[in-house]
Amino acid sequence: MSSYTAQSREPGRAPLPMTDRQDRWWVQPVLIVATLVLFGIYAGFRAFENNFYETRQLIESQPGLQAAPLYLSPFYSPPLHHLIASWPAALSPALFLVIFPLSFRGTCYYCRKAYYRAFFWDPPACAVAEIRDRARMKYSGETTLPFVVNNFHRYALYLILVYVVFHWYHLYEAFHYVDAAGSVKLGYFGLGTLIFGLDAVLLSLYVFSCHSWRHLIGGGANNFSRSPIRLKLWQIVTTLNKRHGLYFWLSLATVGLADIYVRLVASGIIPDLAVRL
Amino acid sequence: MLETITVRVFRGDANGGEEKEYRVKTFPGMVVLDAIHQIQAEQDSTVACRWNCKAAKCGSCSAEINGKPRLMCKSRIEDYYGEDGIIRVHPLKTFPLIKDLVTDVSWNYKTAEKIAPLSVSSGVPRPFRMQQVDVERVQEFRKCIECFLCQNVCHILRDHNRKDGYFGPRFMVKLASLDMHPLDEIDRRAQLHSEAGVGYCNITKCCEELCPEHIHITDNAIIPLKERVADEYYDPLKKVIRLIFGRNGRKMPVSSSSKK
Ligand code: SF4
Ligand code: SF4
Ligand code: FES
Repeated sequence: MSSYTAQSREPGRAPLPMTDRQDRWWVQPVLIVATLVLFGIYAGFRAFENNFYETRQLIESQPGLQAAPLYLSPFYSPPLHHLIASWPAALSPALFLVIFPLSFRGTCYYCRKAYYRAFFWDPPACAVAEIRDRARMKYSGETTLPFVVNNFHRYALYLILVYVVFHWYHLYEAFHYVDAAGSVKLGYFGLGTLIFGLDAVLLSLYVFSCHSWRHLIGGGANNFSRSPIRLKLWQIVTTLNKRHGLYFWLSLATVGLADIYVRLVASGIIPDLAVRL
Repeated sequence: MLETITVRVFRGDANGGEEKEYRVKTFPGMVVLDAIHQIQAEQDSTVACRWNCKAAKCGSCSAEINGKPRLMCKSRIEDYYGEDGIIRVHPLKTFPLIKDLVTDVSWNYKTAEKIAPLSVSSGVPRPFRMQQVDVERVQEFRKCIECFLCQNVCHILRDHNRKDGYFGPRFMVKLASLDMHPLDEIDRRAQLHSEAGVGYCNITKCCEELCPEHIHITDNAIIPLKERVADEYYDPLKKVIRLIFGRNGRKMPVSSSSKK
């Protein structure tokens, strides 16, 4: 059994050991660090790779192929290399494109919780003490740099809405294929189409369950009875918002899965499983 | 269910202390507060603890059970003793210790005094009439029993000891209940941004996870308040709109919500 002396930081408080918790509080931070680091490494590799992000060119590179799907990896969306004719081939558009999803996720209220806990140990888990020396430092939370920028989350939201539109557009494109003659035709359904569908749905759920969105759509009002439409919208977003953290992880997973799948097909490692009309 | 368990209670005061071990007979439905009462009645009447209702409604019996901030009267013993049959009961760690399980939570009452009460101009007919949809959000916050478990677990107060800069989650709930109130006429954002310190919260949600009244402290109070503060202080676009079109009465004149 332990005995304690009064602790120094505030005279007269009960002793504050690292923690009295006996459960495995460290499992969650470890899992979060592992997942985000792995995802970061993979995304970084793919952004620098600047290759195998599209499948339409398969029709030329694989003789005998009847149809190539129109998949585009979400890491390379919006397709700047198509939209800007003079985009230099050597420059990976993903390196620029990643900034916006990264700033949306990085300032996301759920993600903030996850990284403050798992990466900064601020705190590592509830009622688990922080690293002593740092804990004594003047804490300023989200009132000073760098974390004060998290207050601008709404601007990252405005920008990510463009991405959401493009993800749905890529799903639409994924119902198309390029035939042997090189013309684009509607009537394709591949495993990729399915994955793109999942990705578009989950990304939308993630973005439209955002706390800033919830505020924008109605949360700022104090008199809902005067604006029944805002009330209805706010209620819908509130329902989605309860699972915001879940959608964060699921949409991260499907975005990664969509890219992995496109890479596998585009590099010729696997053929696309598909039916054509 | 074990017939007897071991309860290790922190015994001490501001100068320090140690855990003392007691063997306690169990009964069906027993909660940790029952165990403490049994120790007081049968073994050691000097054990100090605070309680009132034993129904999770007065918020007096807050303590840390196996390191987790909990109401003792709401914590069934079988949820806490492991195979070794041991439960450890400590006082709240964020507030000055008086004796054993009793802490001095008066900082919270002093903080409460800094918050202006609901203010409605005298022109509004009494009693107030409001639409249910307008007060629904605020009703969640009014369930608070002031157990201060959230204040205790909040790392800003607990680890960083920034009681000078942050009112704590309980008072974010209080401020939210006022700022979102359809009749309240004070714009609370300036206080939230300055002395109440909503910007200190890094939304790590420990408060929300343990609130015995299941108030969604971060999701429904703190984050919406942060967004309201952002409207005013971190949104250049809104600032421009305000400059061009004026304030447009964020705090509305009150009478219209009592029309029906
Ligand atoms: S979410 Fe904010 S108020 Fe709640 S415990 Fe964490 S830092 Fe404190
Ligand atoms: S908000 Fe919840 S945890 Fe905090 S004092 Fe009120 S009832 Fe207790
Ligand atoms: S004794 Fe009232 S809440 Fe526990």
